[in-house]
Amino acid sequence: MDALTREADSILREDRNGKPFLGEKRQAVLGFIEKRPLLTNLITDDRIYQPIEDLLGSGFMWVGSDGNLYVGDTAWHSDSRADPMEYDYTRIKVAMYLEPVSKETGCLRVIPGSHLPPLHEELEPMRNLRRMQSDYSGKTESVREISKSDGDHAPNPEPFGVAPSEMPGFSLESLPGDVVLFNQRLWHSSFGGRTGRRMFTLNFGQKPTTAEHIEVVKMVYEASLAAAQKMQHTWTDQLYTDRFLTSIEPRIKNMMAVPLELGLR
Amino acid sequence: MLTTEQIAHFNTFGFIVVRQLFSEEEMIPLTKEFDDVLANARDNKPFDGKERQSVQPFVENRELLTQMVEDDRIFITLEQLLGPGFLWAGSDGNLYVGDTQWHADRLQGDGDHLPWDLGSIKVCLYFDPVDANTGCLRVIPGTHRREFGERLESIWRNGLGPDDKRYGVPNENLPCASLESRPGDVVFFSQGMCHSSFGGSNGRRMLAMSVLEKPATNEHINFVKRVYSRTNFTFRPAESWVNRNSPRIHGMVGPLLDMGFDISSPT
Repeated sequence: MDALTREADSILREDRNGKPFLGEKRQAVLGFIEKRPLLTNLITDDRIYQPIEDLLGSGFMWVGSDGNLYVGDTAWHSDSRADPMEYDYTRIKVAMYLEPVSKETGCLRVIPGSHLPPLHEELEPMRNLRRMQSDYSGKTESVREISKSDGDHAPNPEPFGVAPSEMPGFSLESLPGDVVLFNQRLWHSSFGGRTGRRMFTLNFGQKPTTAEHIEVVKMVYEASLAAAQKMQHTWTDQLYTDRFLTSIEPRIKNMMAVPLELGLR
Repeated sequence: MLTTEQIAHFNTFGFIVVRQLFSEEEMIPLTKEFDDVLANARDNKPFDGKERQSVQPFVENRELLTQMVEDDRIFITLEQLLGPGFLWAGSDGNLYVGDTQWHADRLQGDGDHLPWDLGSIKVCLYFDPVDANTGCLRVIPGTHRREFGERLESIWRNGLGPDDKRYGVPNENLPCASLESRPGDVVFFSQGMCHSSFGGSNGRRMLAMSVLEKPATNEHINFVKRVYSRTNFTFRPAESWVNRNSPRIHGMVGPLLDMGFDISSPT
């Protein structure tokens, strides 16, 4: 973990051109683990690869990765759209926190079972709060303030009658070295984390076998590229590194087969 | 009593905790009544903590506790969640010992279970502060609904014992929500959902009242009759309640008498 952490910190520092992290808003670097061989090795390591294959089946694809310095809370959200098409296509996120996180200090919170209907859909009122947060400072308090100032047009900041931090979630406390795997349709959040909380993710998708799956894959790609362009300090028009796209390592080659076939760069 | 949002919380997750529904001052006499009923049942001997003490029926035996059921804060809340005409199933007061393993009250005897379209609520008052590590109620949100509940059928049909690691973790680490509470809070939860409790101290005090949505179909009515026939206290109105001048109480127990159910004697 020491070595992985050093590499992760160096990538984030490089994205900021060596400037200090100001903590005003989240820094996210996409195509993260692709930038360093030591981090790239994670996805070919049996300890990551085998569980993913067990969960997604053979032929699963690489979706991408990101490294983050978080600011404030992360509002409840699902990484999937509010679209039934997504129920048929599973994506898994592997999260590795580079510092201890607990319920009160920014660990991941999930609502168990919310990757499936009807619970998944019934949580939709929470999605608006995430949209508001992503445009602002990332702090939960700002969402409440925005709701007050927008009056009748504002989404309800407490659609279930409790503060978002009091929603019935399960806290996935972790220490560096722990690995959290979760279905990206799951509603998740985090509260209380310190400014600059470090985490990186590895994202995988099942092998797409239908036109609808392909549509989801392309949509996720477009969204990831847009996020990279918005949240990174360094401009990019490419989600995958050339090294990844041309890798001859068998496991990476297999994982990149679908992106290459679809022309996703 | 409940806001639209709180009702949405209950419908979505299967429970709602109403914080400080009863004030500290109100809890003093309620707690005294609770303790008295249990002490009387032990002939005023100390509780030895070897096994759970449970007294059924419970609230029906005391005027103050009965008034609590008639109180808008309980009655109207239940009406909001279940609709009018809900039935009284019973009540119990408990001194708990040890953990309560994962289960759902949905399961009745002989594999019979609460129909998915029939609501059933347990109302719980804890007389000691309880948190995730000291015996508060833990629930798996959403398991009151068929789609999720059926996926966990092996839990509520067969139970999940302390050494059972079918989900790869010790059962006290199963993902859930912990409903921490302090005296005065009231927990309303769907009895169909998976729930448990871990880490509670011996003698942990809790009062529970159960009600059932007004049966709307023959399946519902037959279910009620089967539960009645299998149990000793459920759906048996107390004599004091049958004779009580209270439309709310009569509304809950009248249909039981109409079904020919026995009246329970005072304890």
